[in-house]
Amino acid sequence: MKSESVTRSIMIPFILLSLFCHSSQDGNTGEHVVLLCGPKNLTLKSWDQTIQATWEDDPSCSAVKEELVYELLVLVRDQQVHHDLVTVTPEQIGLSHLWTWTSHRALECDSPSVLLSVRYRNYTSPRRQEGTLPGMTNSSDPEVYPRDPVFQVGSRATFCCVLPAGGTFTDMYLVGYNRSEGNITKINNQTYSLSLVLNQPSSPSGTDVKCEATIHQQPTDNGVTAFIGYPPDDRELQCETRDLESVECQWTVGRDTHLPTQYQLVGSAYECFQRTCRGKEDVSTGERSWKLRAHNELGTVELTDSADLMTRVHMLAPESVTGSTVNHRDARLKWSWKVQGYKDLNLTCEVNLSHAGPQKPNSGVGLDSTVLMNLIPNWSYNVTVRCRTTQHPWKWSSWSSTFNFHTKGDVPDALDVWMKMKDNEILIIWKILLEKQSHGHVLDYTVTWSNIRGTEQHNTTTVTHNHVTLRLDTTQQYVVNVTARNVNGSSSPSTIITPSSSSAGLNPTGVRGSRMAGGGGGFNVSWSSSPAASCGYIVDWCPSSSPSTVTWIKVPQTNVFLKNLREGQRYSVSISACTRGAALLLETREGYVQEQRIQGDLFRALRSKQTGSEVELSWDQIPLTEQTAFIQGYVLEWSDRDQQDNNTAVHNVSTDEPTSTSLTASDLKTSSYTFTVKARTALGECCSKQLIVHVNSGTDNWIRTVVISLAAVFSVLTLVSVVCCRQWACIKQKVYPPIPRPLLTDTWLRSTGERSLHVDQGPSEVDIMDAPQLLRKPGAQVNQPPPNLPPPLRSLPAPAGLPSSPFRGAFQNLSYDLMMQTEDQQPPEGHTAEYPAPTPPLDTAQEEPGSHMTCDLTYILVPQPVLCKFTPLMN
Amino acid sequence: MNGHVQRMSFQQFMELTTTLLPLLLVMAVDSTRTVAASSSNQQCGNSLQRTLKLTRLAQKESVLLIKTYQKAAQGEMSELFCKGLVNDVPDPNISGLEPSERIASIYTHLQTFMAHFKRVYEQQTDLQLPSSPLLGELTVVSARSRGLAALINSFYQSLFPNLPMPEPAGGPTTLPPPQNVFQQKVYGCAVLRTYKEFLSNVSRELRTLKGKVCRRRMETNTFLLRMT
Repeated sequence: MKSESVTRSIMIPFILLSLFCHSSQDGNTGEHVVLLCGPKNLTLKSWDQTIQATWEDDPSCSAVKEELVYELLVLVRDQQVHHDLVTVTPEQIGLSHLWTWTSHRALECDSPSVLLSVRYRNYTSPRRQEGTLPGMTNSSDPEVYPRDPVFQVGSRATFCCVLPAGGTFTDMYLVGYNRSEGNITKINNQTYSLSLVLNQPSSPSGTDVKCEATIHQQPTDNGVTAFIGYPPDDRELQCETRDLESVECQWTVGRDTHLPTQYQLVGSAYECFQRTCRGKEDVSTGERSWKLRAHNELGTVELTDSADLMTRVHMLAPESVTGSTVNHRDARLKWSWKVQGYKDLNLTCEVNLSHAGPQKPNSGVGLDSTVLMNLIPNWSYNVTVRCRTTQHPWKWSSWSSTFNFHTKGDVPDALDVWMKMKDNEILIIWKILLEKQSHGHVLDYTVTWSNIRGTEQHNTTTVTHNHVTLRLDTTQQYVVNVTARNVNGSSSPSTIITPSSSSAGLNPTGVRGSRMAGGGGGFNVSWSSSPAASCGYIVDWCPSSSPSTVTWIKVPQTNVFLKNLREGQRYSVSISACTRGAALLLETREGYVQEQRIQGDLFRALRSKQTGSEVELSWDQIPLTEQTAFIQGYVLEWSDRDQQDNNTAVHNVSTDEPTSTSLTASDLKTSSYTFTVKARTALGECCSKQLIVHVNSGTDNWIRTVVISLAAVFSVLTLVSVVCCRQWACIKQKVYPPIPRPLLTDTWLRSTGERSLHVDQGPSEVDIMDAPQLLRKPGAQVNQPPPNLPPPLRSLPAPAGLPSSPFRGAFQNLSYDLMMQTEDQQPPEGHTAEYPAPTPPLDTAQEEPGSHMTCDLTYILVPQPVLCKFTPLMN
Repeated sequence: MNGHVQRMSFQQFMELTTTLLPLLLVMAVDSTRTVAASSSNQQCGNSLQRTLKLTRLAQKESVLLIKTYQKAAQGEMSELFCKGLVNDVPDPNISGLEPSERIASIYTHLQTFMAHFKRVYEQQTDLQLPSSPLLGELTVVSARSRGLAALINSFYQSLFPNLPMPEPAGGPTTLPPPQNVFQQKVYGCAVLRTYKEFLSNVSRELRTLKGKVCRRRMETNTFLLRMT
């Protein structure tokens, strides 16, 4: 039993297997093989954002005699992101197969898988292989991918940030870009992507892409640096030789790539630095070619050039340029060559002379010198030289270093002389020589003149300025020579013949004058040709206000444009014919380049004068310097100021005479008027000025004259009276001097006094009050007698027998108290009693000389000199 | 009696003389040596002062360098950026307990920083134009670091003539492995920032040493002399 069961258990699978094999053989043998055909040994690699898959065919595939088609599916999180087919020809079966694919996103962000299957005809093999790129290793920081990528400006880039477990995403951005320019997408809980268009090239240090996150509640960030730029676009490779021994290749560098770019001259050992590659070469080998390769992360360009180097000789600059001979007006230059090979070449050299520009080139084999002609004497020159080959002109060498030299001095050039006539004076004027004409410092000018007939001696004068005024006999013509002198000698004489008054000459009298208009900064002057003009015409011009600043030009034609003139300045232009003898004035003109409105106060001294019912307003002559336009006339307007209403009539009077200096308003009434005076120009009225004048009637003037006269007379009289009053004493002394009184003896005086006293005994009370005040003042001095006279009686006791008198009580002895009081010395009214009556005797020693006293004959002893002082008591 | 008195007086004089003479000799020698110690202390102070001045100069230069670095690196080097933990950047702290150990630590730190500066310079050469001021300033700071190290070494030798300058504990300087450009930028910034911090610590340390080492040296010298 047991052996049966064992046998059965062996037989059954064998039978089933036999049946299976039998059934298979009955179907198709090829299909049986295909069942075993498929990929094997799939391996995945990645770099940057590229996946590379390699695999082999299963050996069973060798049985397949047709094309195999491998299908590759790229899966990210079980989602297909890419599909591709790889066809393997029967000849390729059994070899290793390769497939690459570049993702738009960093592979570290997605950890993609590749599913590989095969099919042929319509049959798909069940055998498949799957590979997954290793994901990023766990990191404690957020990681940004791709690392150090390179992008072209304008491309779209995607970066992703992979956070460590537990990390929270905060932000992701490119430094220098707006946050709004990027699009952040959450790929999964740990991965975020940032997508944006890179529209700015990066700096040499790149553009940082940052990812900020919070990890374990700590903010942190990390990033990568992207390099954004352009592929090289250099062009125009040119190779040449400079020293006939080596080659220099240069090219035009394109736009800044913002990326490291390498240059290499393919197939040569040339060294490249910046934009030049150099290398030793035999230049005599004829035609040859060069290829330059420029490469950076974004692309490669190749530039080619081919040439015979002998046609590409770019010479080095001449060296040691020097002047072997330097004369007044020519110099010889020499130079040397650093490259000896240049001496065998036919060369063309150009000299650049300061103030004169490039000179005509000279040619010659190994040219190393040249002669400069037509130089200015006493002039400093800077000269440089450059050369190139004559036979195959390629490029000029650079200019040599500058050589400076100074030509020798010479006599001045001949002067340009002109003249202007005014009345009997002739202004001989000449243009000051420019530095390039004087050939040295001009010391002075010599003017020589003589009668054209040679009947007079030569007259000479030497001046240091550029004009001289001659007073000559205008009835004759004179020959005037002018020379300039410097340290090297005198210039050749410049001759001008003065016209005589009998001829038209240069005297403007009788010559047609006209106005002209300018434009474009000057005058375009044209005139009719004159048969007298044998040597052209002379046009001179000057500001009308300053004729001495005349400028002139000699022209052969009948028109000229005078430029660089000021607007608002009146110019006088004269046109003369140049003849063999004296110049002939043809016409004069006056005008403005551009008239300008006259500014400022034109009628500075405006004044009025009334004559009856007329008022004349006058002003000073207006100087030409203030006339920035032609004055065509003047207008005087006036209106009555007493009429307040708006309909006040405005009267005016005008003149068209530009030289007028007054205008008169007539038929004026007695009132106050406002006068306005204006100037008329082509630009309109201007320079308005007002003056208010009160117009008086004739009667008023008569009354005013009388009143003024009376007032004057009264004032004079008053003044005379005051003077007379104040100086009355003097006047009286002069006009009516006091008559000296005779001296009186004591007896006569006594008897006289007694008589007087006697006579005066009967005055009324009023008389007493009017009597002169007799005061005694301590120290007062009575009039002194002459020294040769006997002393007068000082004490005269009253006779006992005399009758009593009312005076005696008040005036006991008047001789001691009598004195003259001026008004200001009089006691105040009512205080008379305070002055006590004098008490005799008075010591004469206490009396001062010169004291005044009233002229009472009784008491006067000697005559006293009259003082020039007004005293009422004297009356 | 008089002779006895005289003898006694002489004996007393001799005893006094024998007592005072050594004392005077000791005082004389001591004063001479004190003068010598004082002079040596002055030299110590001068050397320290010179080192301190150079440290301050290097500190200023490092501050300027960081500004230039930030400007060159697009001007958006945030604090976070530079403070990110970067491996293999030297520790700015000075180690050791004894002054000799701490001075030696300063020296070895400076040597380490010089290696890092060289690496930063190499990295920045690829990221900057040849005309960039950053490269020039990096060269200056590196040279200054070398000069400061030489001065520290000299100072150490003068203080501890019998103690050789110890080699760095961790062996040769460890530089970071190849990095991507962004990491290079962060690394460079971290090196500069750490260097600045280190110099600040050095400055502080030197000020501390001024009041400690030079004075102690004087005391030690005096003590040693008195022992002899």
